[in-house]
Amino acid sequence: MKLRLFLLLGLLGVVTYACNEEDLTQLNPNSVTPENYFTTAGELEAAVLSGYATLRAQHLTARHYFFLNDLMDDHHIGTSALQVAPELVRGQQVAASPHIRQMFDALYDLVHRENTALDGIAANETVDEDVKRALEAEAKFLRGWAYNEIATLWGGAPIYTTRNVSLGDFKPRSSREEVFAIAQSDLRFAVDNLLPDRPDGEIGRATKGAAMGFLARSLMQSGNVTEAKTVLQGIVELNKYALLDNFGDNFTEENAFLGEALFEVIFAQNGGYNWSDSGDGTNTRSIRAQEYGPSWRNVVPTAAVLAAFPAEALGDSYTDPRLSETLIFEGQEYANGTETLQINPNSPPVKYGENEVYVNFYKYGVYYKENPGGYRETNANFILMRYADVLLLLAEAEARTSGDLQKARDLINQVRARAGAPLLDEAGIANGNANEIMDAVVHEREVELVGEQVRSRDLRRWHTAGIVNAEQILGYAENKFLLPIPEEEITNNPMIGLEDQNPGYN
Amino acid sequence: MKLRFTQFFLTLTLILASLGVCAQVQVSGTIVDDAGTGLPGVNVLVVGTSTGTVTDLDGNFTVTAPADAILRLSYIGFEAQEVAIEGQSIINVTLASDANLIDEVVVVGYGSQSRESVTGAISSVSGEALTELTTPNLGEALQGRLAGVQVTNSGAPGASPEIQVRGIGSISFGSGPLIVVDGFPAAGGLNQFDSRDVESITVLKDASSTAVYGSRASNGVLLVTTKSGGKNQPIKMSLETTVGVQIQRQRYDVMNTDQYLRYAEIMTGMPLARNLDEIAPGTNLAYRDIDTDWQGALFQDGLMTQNSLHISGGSDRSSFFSSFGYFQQEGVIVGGGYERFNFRFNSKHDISENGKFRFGQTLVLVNDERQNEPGNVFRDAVQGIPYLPVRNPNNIGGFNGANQGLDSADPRNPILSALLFDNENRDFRTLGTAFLDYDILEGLTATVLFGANYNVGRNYRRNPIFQSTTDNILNSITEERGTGYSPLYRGQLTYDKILGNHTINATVVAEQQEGYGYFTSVSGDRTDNLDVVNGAGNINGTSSRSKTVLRSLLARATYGLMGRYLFTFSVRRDQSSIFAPGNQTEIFPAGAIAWRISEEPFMQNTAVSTLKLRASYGRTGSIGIGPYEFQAPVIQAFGPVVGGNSPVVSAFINDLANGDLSWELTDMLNIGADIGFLNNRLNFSVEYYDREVNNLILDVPLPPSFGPDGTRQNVGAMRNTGLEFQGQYFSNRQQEFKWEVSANLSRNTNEVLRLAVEDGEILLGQQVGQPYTADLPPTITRPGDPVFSFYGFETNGLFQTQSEIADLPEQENAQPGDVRFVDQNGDNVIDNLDRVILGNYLPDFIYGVNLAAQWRNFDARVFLQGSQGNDVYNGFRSMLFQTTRLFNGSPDRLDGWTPQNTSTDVPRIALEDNNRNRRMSDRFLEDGSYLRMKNITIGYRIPFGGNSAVSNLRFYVSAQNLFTITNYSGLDPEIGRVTQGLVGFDDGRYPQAKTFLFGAQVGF
Repeated sequence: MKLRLFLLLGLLGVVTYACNEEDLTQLNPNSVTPENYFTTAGELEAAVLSGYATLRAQHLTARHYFFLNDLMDDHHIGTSALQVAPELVRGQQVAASPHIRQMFDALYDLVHRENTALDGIAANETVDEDVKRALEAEAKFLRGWAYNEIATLWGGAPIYTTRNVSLGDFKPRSSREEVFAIAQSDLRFAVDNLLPDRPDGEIGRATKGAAMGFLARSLMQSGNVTEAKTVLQGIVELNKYALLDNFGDNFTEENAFLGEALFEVIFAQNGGYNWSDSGDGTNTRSIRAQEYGPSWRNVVPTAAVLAAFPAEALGDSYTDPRLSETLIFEGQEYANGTETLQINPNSPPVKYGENEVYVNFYKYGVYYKENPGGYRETNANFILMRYADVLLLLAEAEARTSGDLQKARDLINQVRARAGAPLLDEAGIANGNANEIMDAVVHEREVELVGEQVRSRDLRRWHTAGIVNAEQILGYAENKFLLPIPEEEITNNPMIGLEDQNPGYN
Repeated sequence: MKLRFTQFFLTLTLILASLGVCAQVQVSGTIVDDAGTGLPGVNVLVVGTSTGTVTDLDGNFTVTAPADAILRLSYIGFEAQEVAIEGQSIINVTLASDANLIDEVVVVGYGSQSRESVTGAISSVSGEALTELTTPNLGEALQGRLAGVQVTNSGAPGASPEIQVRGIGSISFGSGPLIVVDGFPAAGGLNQFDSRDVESITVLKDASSTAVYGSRASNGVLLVTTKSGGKNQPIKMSLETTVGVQIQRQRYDVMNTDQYLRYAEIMTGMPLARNLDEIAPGTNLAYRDIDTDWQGALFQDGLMTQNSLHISGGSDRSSFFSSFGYFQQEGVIVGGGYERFNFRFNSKHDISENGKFRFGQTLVLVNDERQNEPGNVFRDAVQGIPYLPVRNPNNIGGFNGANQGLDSADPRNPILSALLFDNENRDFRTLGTAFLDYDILEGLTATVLFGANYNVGRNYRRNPIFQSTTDNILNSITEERGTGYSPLYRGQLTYDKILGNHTINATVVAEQQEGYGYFTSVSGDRTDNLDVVNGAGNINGTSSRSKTVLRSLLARATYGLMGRYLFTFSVRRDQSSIFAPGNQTEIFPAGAIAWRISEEPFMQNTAVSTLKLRASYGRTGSIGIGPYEFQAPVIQAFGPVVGGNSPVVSAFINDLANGDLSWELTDMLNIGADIGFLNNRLNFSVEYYDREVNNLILDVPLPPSFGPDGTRQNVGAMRNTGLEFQGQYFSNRQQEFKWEVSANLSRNTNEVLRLAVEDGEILLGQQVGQPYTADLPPTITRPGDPVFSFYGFETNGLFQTQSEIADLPEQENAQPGDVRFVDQNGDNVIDNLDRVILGNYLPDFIYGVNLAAQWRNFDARVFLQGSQGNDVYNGFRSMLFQTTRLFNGSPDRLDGWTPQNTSTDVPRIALEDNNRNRRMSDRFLEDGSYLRMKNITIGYRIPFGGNSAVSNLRFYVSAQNLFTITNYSGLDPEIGRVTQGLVGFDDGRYPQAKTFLFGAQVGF
């Protein structure tokens, strides 16, 4: 009997043990889980900062951002060496184009990382509210920048404002206006809550001025010129930015934080080029000079960009000094006269006046100091927006709102004077009325901002505003001005179907 | 020694017997077999008591029993017999050999059953058959033995074969069966269990027999039962030793020095830079006079030996089995090898005198060591430059290497890889169980079982400093250790009762099994050749741990009516910590019915001794994913560059953890029949099954806007249907020449039913690498076709002229002498859309045939095993024909197409190969069917009689893998899994060598 009791008790013991429900919930001991993270200011900050890695990832500013934006304008053309999105040159992109998908993906990875941070900030109840608000502003700065790029390049797109945690979280395509609206609301929050300055240890992170710059850019692109004008004027009044004495200093390896850029993505002398799609890892060098440089020569200038620069060789009264800071011709001396450029002719020569020439981009290269050789990574920071752009946008806003035209003239002249180009009147550029001033802005932006990923958006903005005929300039129809929603988005997002694709694509 | 023990037991028994009972008589007698020979070790039991004895060597016994008692005489292999004493003092009995040679009791999940009452699809194989083959791995021993069980071996010493029960059960994960050793589930790999310790292996195949294992049973269950001692047995000791040699004579055909030099000049367009008249270091021959047989240097004749010592015995209340085993296999590749020590102790005890309270335990300790062969040694051996010697005394390490500048080629030295690189696994495992049984009431037994499986797996890798093709200037060392501990707690109630025409058996089990994993790794580089990380530079280390809990409740009831109508129903409820809270529970029900037609009155007195129809249906599951997948980890990594020029640490989440993930579920229908004639001397079983797997976990891509790129979802479905046949015939046991034959055949067809999206496809296996596929993914999995089908282009000879190329569908970069691919979709362009399914690794059927015969003291066994209708993609042959880089390879390359040599099927020597002649295509698809003489053994038993201390002495010789009939052109048609999703793809696999063995068994 005793034995029976003993056994039954034993059995009961096993069953009791087996009913300890807590045992069945096993959390990963090898990594931190979202539930246990986002508790300290440092953790919230780390989550926000992760977006800066995406920003410098190869599918954004390390590579795709400049390729895609540049190839959508009339200044850049691919050579036989071009592998990244060659189809963009003639508007032949399709929904299956891989590089278009990759950049779309990278922008949303940035959105995803900042949404993760924003969720963490929202859920946190211990960190100081001011600290949290500043971090929220920084996260929204990055997210707002990404949404503005998405609205600019693709138009309508899904809007996610929290991290997706389940397969029920798919969102349909919002309208282009809605995407601009979320971008601008994020950037306004950033403007209101970021400080104009960062201490040395935070250099390269979002500031009030940078947020204002992107907000103004976004407002201009969405057609809200009036509000843009106010924001742009605000940037001037911040008194934080100035044009560098030397135009070319903006594009050298030594260009870090000289005072003209509103926001720059840091590339530095650590390891090599970062091939990671996420931007994580310790490699921090840029490959931009190599991609457009003399060895690979993936992208070269078009006849249009050559023709845009007034030059005595073309019979103009002056040669714009920015020509030699932007382009370099076959046979030209460089590196302080120690080298002569020999171009590997992997594309047809371009027409320049009566001649045909071989020409490369000089801007962002290292020609100014040395022969780049077969392979040369650089440490030049990637400037996403600089003060000259702001001044010219403000001039455009004044002209388009028939505002202070004299101020517009002064702004343009300020940019010309820094470059060493004759002022408007001196150069014989008409500037009598708002329309003429607008034309002067078009010309000024064309020569000032070559290869800075603004020309493609300028053409599209001006086309919409009836200022230029971008169809003619680009050689393809308006319905190719926006990029196609990537095939993977249509296939894998149950809320988006073929019928949601941008017109002109299938 | 043995006699003294026997005498001791006998005396003890006698004393106990005479003490306990009154009105006793002493009975003695002799028990003989049909031939009149005394049978030693026969159990003599006084029915209704625990009194009994065993016969001595001459079959004599003496027992004291009540005068009206009945003696039950039983002996393995003979029919048990009951004899009434009826006052006699001398009883002589002749035991008839057991005509019904099928095991009467089969082990099933959480119990055992009599063969007649089985309702599911269960096959078993005896320890005797398993030990016929000398192999370190029980899995290999199972090959060809059981219908429905496909085993694919690798020849590498200590490597685990692939075991698949009733087809492939998963797309994303391996789908081997659950292995249960002595009631302990998930006991680990079969290579750590000594085949000679095994009493039997039972495979549970249909859902009604596997569902008691619930969430781990989808891919079948292998129940391994180890040996135990018998009660009232004298102490028996047996020694068995087997020694042999493995030899590999077959080689890949490669170019000799003359051919190679000719080829190199054609290919590179100029003579090699090396001065071939120079004397090679360490030799007295000029390079051009050297003809190195790299494969000859790689292969060796390897020793294989298996040795075991078994001791078993039992008193009337205790029994035990203990063993020691030692296995060693050198393998046929230099530098490799496998070695294993096993210790086992199993025992059972009646704690209470009345036998109602019992204790039992099993314990095994295993330590094995395996030197892994380095990757790609076969490739390196066939690519070796024939004019270079293997060794070079001037190099650190002593091995030669190619010089890219002089030789225009850079093959690695495979002998260096095999001999200088260390890659050693050392695994220690201890697996033990202990249980208490208590008979609460008649028929009702309670059992408490505790088990533990503890293993430490260590991997040690070292690449020393050497000079060769590429120099290794740092001695890099990695030490890894994984520790696993899995405790098992089980409470079980079993009720077994016969009430008139009703047979009832019910089992209820509560069980919890936990798994704890600990992993640590440390690595470092050093500039000297010491073996340890201590003092090394660049030291890296990591550690991780895991815990899983599986909690289960199960109930099973079987009911038999009049011994003819049998019903089984079982249900198991599993809860697993691997899944997210709220998604952890699943129920696995199953049922079966059987009708023993042969027991019906109308079937009496017919030639049919057994006729049973069975049907079952049920659900099982499998866990493919590891723990914690329902959680998205926060990753902390360097990345953003802010506040200076160096990256700072940031935190982000990359994954969408799908908290809805759950088990992959299998629903299986099984219909079977058992038929026996001649008192079951001739018997057959046939099975039909339809196995549908749903909820397959697949990688699902997410839209780019979503953030995370993909996740896993339970979305796929797949079906396996199959037929199995198993048959046996035993000759009449009374004859002097006894023989038996058994055969089995199984057929399985697979079809993918559903993937994540309609018209979806999964391309897998690309990791196998460019040399074998020209960069195309080798397999496709898509609805309507079998899983992991070979995928590529159909070819149609070679282009002969430019105009032919112009007239045919556009094939980019094609030139005369290039392979012509077929335009399958008629769009006039040859591109990836023209790929088709070329074939599949799944055989039409697999089979095994076993013959055994005994004549006087001679015995012989022959075992054949094969596979029919499976394709092998010979990626290795594709590599032998590559011409894009200078390496040795097939001499047929010299027969490559040229404008002068057009009547050839070998493409031109295309240095660029812009046409990608070697891309995945039917050129390299071969029929992988084979029939293998797996084993042939001849033995001779030296008769011992009388009082000799040696009771048994047998010598035998055997040959394994003596020959293989196949049309396959590689070394071995039996090719298992390369990576997930790639099976039957030959990328240079370790062949199974011919093995010749001599063995001796001695019993004391």
